[in-house]
Amino acid sequence: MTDTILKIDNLSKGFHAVRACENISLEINKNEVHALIGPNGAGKSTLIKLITGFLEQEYGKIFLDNKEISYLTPEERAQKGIARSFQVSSIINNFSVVQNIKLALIGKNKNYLDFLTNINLNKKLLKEAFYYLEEVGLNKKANELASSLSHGEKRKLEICIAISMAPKIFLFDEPMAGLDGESSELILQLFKKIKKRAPILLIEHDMDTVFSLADRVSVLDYGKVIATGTVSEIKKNNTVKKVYLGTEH
Amino acid sequence: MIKEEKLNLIILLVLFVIPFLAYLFNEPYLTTLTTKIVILSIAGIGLNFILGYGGLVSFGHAAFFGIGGYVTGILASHAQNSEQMFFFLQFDGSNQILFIWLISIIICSFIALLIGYFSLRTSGVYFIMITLAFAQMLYYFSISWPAYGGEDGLSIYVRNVFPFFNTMNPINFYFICFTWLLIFLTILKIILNSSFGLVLKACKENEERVKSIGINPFKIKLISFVFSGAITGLAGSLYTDLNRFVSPSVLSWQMSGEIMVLVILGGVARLYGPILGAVFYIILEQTLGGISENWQFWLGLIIILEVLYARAGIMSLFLKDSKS
Repeated sequence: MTDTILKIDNLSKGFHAVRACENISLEINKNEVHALIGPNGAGKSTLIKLITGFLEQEYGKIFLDNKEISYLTPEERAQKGIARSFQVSSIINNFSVVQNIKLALIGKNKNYLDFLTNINLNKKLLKEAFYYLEEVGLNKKANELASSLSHGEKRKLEICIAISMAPKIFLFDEPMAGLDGESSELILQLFKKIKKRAPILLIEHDMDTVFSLADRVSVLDYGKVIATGTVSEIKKNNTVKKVYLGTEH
Repeated sequence: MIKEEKLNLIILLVLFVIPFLAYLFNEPYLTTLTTKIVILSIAGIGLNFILGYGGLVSFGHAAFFGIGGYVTGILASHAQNSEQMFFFLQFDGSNQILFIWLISIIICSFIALLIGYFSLRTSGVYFIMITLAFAQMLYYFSISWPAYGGEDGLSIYVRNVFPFFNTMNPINFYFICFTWLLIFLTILKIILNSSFGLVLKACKENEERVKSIGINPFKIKLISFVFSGAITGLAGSLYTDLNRFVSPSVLSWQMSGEIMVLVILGGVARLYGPILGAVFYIILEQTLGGISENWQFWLGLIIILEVLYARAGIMSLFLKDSKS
């Protein structure tokens, strides 16, 4: 019995002459945080879009829990257990904070064809939504409009949406971009907690965060994986130092 | 300035009282006019469901209004003339309004399913154009179908029969239409407060997010489109019975525009907005129409002012906490 939750096998995608991802193979295992690092334009976000189905691969395969998902739609992949956050916050701005979570719960519970139950009176749904909001510390802002949240709070809400879907894997695309130290620390602690529920594939530019959180790291450059290993292995890798980390790490 | 719930109640109360006042002051025309307002309101709330809450700007809702109207006209005319419908269909039509409504809703839902299936693969201006194109196809088809009057339209002489109710009495017919308005307002309110309603509103705001939580936005929009088509189709059916006549004009792009104007005038994404829109539209038609043939010029001016200064529609002018 393998511990691999997500397996990417020779995944490739190009945009005209540019090869965004070239024969990428990765395995994300149970209980791990697998960080994906690399310079801008290395293909990290493209890889997330390929895994979630928002882009279609040219060739290669994706397996979730040993089942191929390469040709499923984004919504089918989400139903199978892939939860993501977007590089730029993608919440429903005109909804309240709690409505954003309720929406995710409706998706998770597959009861979006319920035309009769008043969601404003559904106590079970509200209780479940508050359980997740408390986890990220947004319960006091539950009834505020999502558009009125600060940047950091919007990032937390986005992570909360992913958590509330109780997925098999989390894909977080630069979740800490633009956050202050306190908020970053809170999210760091949150990730340490939730990785026990499902592994995390994390794209992050803050190397201190990556090195304190990641169990394994893969480095992308020009659409290719140039190294994969533990934090100490990556830190020692000369190619990685040359193309991305520099000498200070 | 009042709360939305109060304003909604006032709108319904006024609509309820008008036919009685018209009867008291011996103004039966006023009842007919209010019946037209109620029917156009039903068409408007049908469109508003997808336009206001789903962000789908359909410029072809006349297709459903017209099909509902023609289904009623064709079934009734065959029943009145005791003519079989088609050589392969051993059926004389019907003048039973309950049966006609059912058939109108079924056919309009099916046509909405077909139009929606193709149209909803597009978005923005392409969606507007494709819905318009479907409606125009049906418009030109109706013009070139001589069996049902072609360009001249089709008369049905007497209104269809409702059990234990004389539909030729204007007040009776008014309250049939008013009841339908109440039914659709109730149904849509329930849907908009449900899980489906929340997902529909989310589709308008952010389809990418909807997909990422495991919901197919196309499915949600298609179901909504079918609901909307069925509601507007029933309004068309009532409109034919009101006028005892149906012509290709109910399938024209002007009709689609008229329904859209009601929605925008009253207030997009407000359940009672199209009712207020229809009230103002008919008032403008009756007052300005008496002064000038080109009364639509003034209507255009009012819409421009509304878009510039009261984007949330006429309803927002009365409301305490109006959304922009």
